[in-house]
Amino acid sequence: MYNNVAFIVCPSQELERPPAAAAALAGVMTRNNTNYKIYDLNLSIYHALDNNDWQQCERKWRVDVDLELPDSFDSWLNQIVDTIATGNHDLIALSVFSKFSTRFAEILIRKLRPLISVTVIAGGQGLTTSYGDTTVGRLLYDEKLVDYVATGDGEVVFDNFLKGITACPGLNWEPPEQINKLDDIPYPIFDQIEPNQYIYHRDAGIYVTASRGCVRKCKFCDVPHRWPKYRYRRGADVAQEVYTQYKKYMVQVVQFTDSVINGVLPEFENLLDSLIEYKKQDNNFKPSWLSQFNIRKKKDLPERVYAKMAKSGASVLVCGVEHASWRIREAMGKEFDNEDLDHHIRMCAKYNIHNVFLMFIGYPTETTEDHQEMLDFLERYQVYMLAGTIMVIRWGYTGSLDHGSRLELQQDHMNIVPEWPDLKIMSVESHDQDWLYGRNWINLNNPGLTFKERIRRRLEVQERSEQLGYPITRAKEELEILKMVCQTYFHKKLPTEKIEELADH
Amino acid sequence: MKLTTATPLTFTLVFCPTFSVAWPAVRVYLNDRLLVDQTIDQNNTCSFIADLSQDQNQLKLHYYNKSEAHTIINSVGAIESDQFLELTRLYVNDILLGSWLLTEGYYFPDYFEGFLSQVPDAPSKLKSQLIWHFPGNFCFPSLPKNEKFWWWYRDQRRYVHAKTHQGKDDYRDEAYIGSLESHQELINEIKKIINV
Repeated sequence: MYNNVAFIVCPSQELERPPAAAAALAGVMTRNNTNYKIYDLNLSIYHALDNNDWQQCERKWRVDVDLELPDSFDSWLNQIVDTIATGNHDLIALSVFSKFSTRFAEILIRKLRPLISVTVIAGGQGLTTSYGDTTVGRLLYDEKLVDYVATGDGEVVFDNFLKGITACPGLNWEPPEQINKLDDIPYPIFDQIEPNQYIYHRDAGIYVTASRGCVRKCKFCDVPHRWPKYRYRRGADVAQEVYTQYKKYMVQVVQFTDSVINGVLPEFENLLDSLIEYKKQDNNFKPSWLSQFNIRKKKDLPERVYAKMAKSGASVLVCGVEHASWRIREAMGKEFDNEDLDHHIRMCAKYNIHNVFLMFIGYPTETTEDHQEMLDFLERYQVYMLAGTIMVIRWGYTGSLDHGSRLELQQDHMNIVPEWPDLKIMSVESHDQDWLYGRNWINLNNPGLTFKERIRRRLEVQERSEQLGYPITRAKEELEILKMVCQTYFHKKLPTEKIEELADH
Repeated sequence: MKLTTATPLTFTLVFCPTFSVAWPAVRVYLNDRLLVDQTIDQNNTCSFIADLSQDQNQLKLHYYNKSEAHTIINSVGAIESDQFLELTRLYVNDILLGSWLLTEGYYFPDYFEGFLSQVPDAPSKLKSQLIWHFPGNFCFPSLPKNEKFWWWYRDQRRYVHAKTHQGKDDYRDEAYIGSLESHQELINEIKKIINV
């Protein structure tokens, strides 16, 4: 049906590896015998602009929507738009990976749309980003900047679309259906986005998907909303894909896109065993893998598993530790207690596996004692941080009730109400909306944890971790966003008397 | 036991020894003081507490108990068996340190006379050589004082990372290995906004 698709990847995304969505959908297009051209504008802009201009753009996409774009951006964009518009494409597919891709996507499509007369489809999680009282996807659709909006598992929706099926789950506001058999998805294709072109550390790499969804249902998390069921592939098949891609593209680094790589332990061990077996058969195959990882009970993850992980190439585990207090983790829906966490860190130290710890300040039931535990945690694990076992820590944006999370839906029976009922957050305009969403709350059962107190605690852990020498990722960006949120709550959008009331709160 | 930066440093070296006539043996010296003298056999680990008391500390391994007699040559002149020793891992307080710490070290072989007569210009100092066919000394990079050890290790680790990163900007680098930058100014600005 379509013979020449322009697949456009919008900045900002990571640059270490080729974009997962483009590679996955290249597999789908190939299976449909559809010609395509991938425009990875995330990489293109990185190379085209000098460092200062590129960073200015990054700040615009990620932090400060009001920032002016440099002249070099306009020149580059004009050239890109011209290339795409004159490329004889019969379908434009826009990949909007996250909220950080939405600002660019809007600029691009407003410029491109008047120059083309072909169908435009947009997909990606970024389209669900709040925008005023709607979403970015809805805005683009309502303004007829795009003809179709795809949500959910793109491999199925795009496959249907290429076959001419436009009335299907996941397309134009039909609720998406989760893929049942991940093994039916073709392998991603990186022919047009060679991994070696990317800005990698040590070795070039690719993304591989072993599962979708999560076995945990943490109350703050929206993954169970996006993928209600945990779907996984057989470990041996995943290892086969890793090895096949290694042979095809000569890449040793694999980042699993999974929310949790070890959701089903027998399949996880199957994956590890299979990777070890491939290594035995091919001395040149030395995989190094990164993934989100579920810390579990010590009895479920004995030393044997960590030894296999190391042997199979485990390099970095991204772990939602979230809180030092077991009481809070338990309330969140985590299963590992402090002894399990100690075991995990000791094992990772012993086998030289690095961790990125994702943390959560200001869970609705967090008390001052819980917060003190968080501060103590930083000292307790300082040596493991210096040793690199805790490679990076990320503090996040403080407690918010995210779209689709059980917290937002208040299924937890907590007594959560708006802290300031007359503060109409939905009247906040445009892209800032997403950062403000879900922050105007207070738990009446824990009234000391005001918005102001959550921010204070967030700043305190930042100061303490900096003093102790913790490498922190995205700290500047997160603090700038929090500053913007605080300004909005305390200054921009509130009448003077409300500001005074809040300041005394 | 809670591990802190003040916990005494227990080093554990792991070897892969190869037997021929006899097992290899090592002596471990810290600032020229003998800490351990041990045969490396099926028990291939060697542990000791290293009191890094000086500003710069030299940890040295002396590989001995190897002579030409430990290289067995058959009737057609091929090596039938040979003793040698490989240093494979280093743990400090049960934390496996990066292999770069070993490969930053130097091996000073004590060549046999017979070998030197055949290879007179054999190098006297080899960086990153962790498999030893001749007796000799292996010197680790200079180590800092006890209380600075883990800080030094962190900084070295990050330096090694920076050497292997091909990006043109710190921004992306920070996303990967984190930043040690202070954000106090920004923190103070937010504190002012929320009045704390």
